[in-house]
Amino acid sequence: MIVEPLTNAFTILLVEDDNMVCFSISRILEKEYPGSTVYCAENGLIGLELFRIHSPDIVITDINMPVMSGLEMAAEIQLIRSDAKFIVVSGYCDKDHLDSFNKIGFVEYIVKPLDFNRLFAAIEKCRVGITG
Amino acid sequence: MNKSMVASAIGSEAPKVISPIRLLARILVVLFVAEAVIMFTLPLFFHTEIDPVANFADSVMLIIISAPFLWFLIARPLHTTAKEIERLNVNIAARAVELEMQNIELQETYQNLKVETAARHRAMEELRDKDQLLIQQGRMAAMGEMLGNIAHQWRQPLNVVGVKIQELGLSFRYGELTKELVDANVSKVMEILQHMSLTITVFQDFTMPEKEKGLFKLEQVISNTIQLVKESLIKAGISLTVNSVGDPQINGYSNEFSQVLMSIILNAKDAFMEQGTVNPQITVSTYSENGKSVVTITDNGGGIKEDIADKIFDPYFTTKELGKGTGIGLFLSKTIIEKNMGGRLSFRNVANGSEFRMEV
Repeated sequence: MIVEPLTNAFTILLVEDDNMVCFSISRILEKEYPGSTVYCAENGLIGLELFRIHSPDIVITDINMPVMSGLEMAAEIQLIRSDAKFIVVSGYCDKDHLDSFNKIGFVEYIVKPLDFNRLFAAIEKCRVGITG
Repeated sequence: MNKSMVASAIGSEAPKVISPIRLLARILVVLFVAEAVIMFTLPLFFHTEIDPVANFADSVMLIIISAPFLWFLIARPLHTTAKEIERLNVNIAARAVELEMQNIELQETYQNLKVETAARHRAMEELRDKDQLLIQQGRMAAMGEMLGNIAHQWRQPLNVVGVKIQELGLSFRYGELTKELVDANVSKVMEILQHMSLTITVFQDFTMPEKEKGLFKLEQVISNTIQLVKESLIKAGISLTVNSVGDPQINGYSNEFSQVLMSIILNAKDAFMEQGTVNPQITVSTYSENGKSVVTITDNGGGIKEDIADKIFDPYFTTKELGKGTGIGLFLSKTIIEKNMGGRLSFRNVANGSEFRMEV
């Protein structure tokens, strides 16, 4: 087994309908994880397209978005890759949303306003899965 | 009050008529005296002498002869006339009593009506108060419905503020904190905070009952209202367009007007959800027409079936499933526009949708 020297060379798909937030988060992630690549999508449909093209290691997604919700997108992605890793970042913390996403499965469910320490921790949790 | 009392009260008893027999007797006595006087005085002028017995007999004869004539010529017709007058008088008195009775009845009816009118007036006032209370409650219900939306509407900007602030801290950690980044993030955060503060003001204005009518700009109220429902419309994928011609103004309660707009817009939203409308659109147009300010709200949600179209403004009429609609939204809207603002709220179906029209 070849040991990967560049452990930071992983890809993230960030799906968030607020462009400015999307840009800030991706900038911070690329600083926090030098060598990583972040793809940004403003809705579920674009996210799904980007997933098909880049097949990212981690998907960070909002739930409520125009055109296609994060939930619908995640369901589609799971059909493509059953072990896709989701980090949900949503304004909703009610049981309905949690239960719906539970069916698909996620690594972490972070309630907005987003705390970067929690996001980094969640990404670490995913990477343990990737490298392990 | 009984009839006799009324009769005595108005003094309408038949006046006394002298009996004709007595009248005849009086005339005869006068005639006798006159004849006697003449017969006694004549000799004094003509210097003749008349026997007092003959004189007396003459007077008596005159009376005896003239009595039947007087009876037939004067007393009888008088007697008849007197009887007729008496009969008429009795009639008149009876009529007067009757009239008085009617008058009393009328007075009573008038008093009753006065009491009834006052009661009705009070009832109307109470009803208006109740309407007002209902409107206030309706607004509170709408607020409750929106509270969920507000929560989401606020999470988004709060999230942006959070990200922007953490970006500063993290950039410092990466040694990339520049003046430009600080300035950009601070101004962005301030902009968002201002916007959130404005949203609070709009909500607050909406919930507070307005004491006095005032002149308000339609365009402003429309944009404030849209501010309140924007989030739930975006979430539902509904596009909303506002067309404003001129700068129409209305004299009234702006938050009640806002409530009407909101009811109609949220109804349209529910219709879209129910119908599964593809590419749902709502258009709000405002303009002036014949000195009136007009607002129309049009949607492409399929319209309302003709058989229920005339019921939509009835209280407690709803097509929504149990627990979803209160059935008073449009009823209150009509009350607000027509009773409180003296305008008109009407509905009609247009090409594949419905149109609500407000004229004030």
